Amino acid sequence: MPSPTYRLPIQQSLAAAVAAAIMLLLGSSIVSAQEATSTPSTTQPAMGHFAFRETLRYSQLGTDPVSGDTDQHMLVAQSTLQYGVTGSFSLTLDIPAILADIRRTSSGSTDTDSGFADITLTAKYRVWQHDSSPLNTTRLSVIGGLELPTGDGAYSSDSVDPIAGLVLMSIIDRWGFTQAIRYKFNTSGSGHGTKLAGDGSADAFRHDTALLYRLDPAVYSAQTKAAVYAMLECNGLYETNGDYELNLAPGILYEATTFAVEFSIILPVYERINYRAAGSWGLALGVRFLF
Amino acid sequence: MSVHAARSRCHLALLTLPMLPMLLMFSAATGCQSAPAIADAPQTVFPTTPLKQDFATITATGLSCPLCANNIDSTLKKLPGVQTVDVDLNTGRITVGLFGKAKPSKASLATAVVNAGFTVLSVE
Repeated sequence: MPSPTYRLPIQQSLAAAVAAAIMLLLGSSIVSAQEATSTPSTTQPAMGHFAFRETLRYSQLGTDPVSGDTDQHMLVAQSTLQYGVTGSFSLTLDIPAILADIRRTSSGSTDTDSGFADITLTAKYRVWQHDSSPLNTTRLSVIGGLELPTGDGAYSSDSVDPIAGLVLMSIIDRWGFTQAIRYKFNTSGSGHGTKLAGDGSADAFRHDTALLYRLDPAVYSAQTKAAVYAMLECNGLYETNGDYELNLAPGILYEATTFAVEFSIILPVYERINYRAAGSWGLALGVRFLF
Repeated sequence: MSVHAARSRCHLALLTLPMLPMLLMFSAATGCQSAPAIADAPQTVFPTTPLKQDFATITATGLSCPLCANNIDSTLKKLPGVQTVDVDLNTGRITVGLFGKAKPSKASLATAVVNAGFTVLSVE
């Protein structure tokens, strides 16, 4: 077994948020309002409407303890389509595309790959809602889904993996708080797992916390057409092989009536990684549309 | 205590930590108000007869953000007879401009807002 990796990635230069990409690849992107980049929310498109989200993530990884690859850079495009079946029930399809996976192999050569990671189908149902004012609301949703293999070599797990989770979101005046937990059951046993975090041969437990603060406007009015939020996420991934990572992701979100744009930086604060390359930092840029 | 046992307890603590914010938020949302919460008010049954006026005003709660306002706008505009929708996020007031002979009823307006994911207090 490779020696365990214990480190504080903030001290490193450009280590990756493969963790961040991984969080996305587990279907963390559910398109809705006041939703942070990597943390699902309880909001959704209205009944009969769609929301589309595209998120680009760049991340840099350290040495892969299994393959020995170093100097890894990864660019992932996550496409998410969400449909409002009813006012409280939605379906989401996540398709992650590895646009570029560049690494230096143990032999010294540079390899570049691309492909598709596993697709995720998710259902989200809002089981409880408490609206305390025109603006303020607290909502609880349950999430259930399946991660389906694309069969794409290095990026597909070759197993159909069920996902279950809960999301609690509360918006109070200018503040928004979201807490989500999700568990993915890996059904492949000791079978094929990918190099992507949370998509190996172990079960994966995610806990995501997001804090949003509306920078502008201070008070909504009838003329309000957009808002700007500061975001701070704390995203954790625990795998049942013992790997654990925790990331902080500060960012900014611009939300208009029909679209939103977001940008965040992913900074790992704790990593205990034995079975894959650990990340250092990453960037995420996303856009969403309602139609 | 062995190293393995210590690490297992550490992992367990890490896994249970995320639950604390959820419990705190849930408690705060349900237990803090001394007055009955708006959303706990008895559900109103709105009439199904078509409206005759040129404007209707809906008061709703939980609007939360501009994208949410769009949910309301797009849902209401699917109703026959709805021409304009103006959402005031601060007051929760939704002003609906109506036109033509086939105007919606209060019930259909309320249902549209509920289908957009929000709570309706009144339709006038």
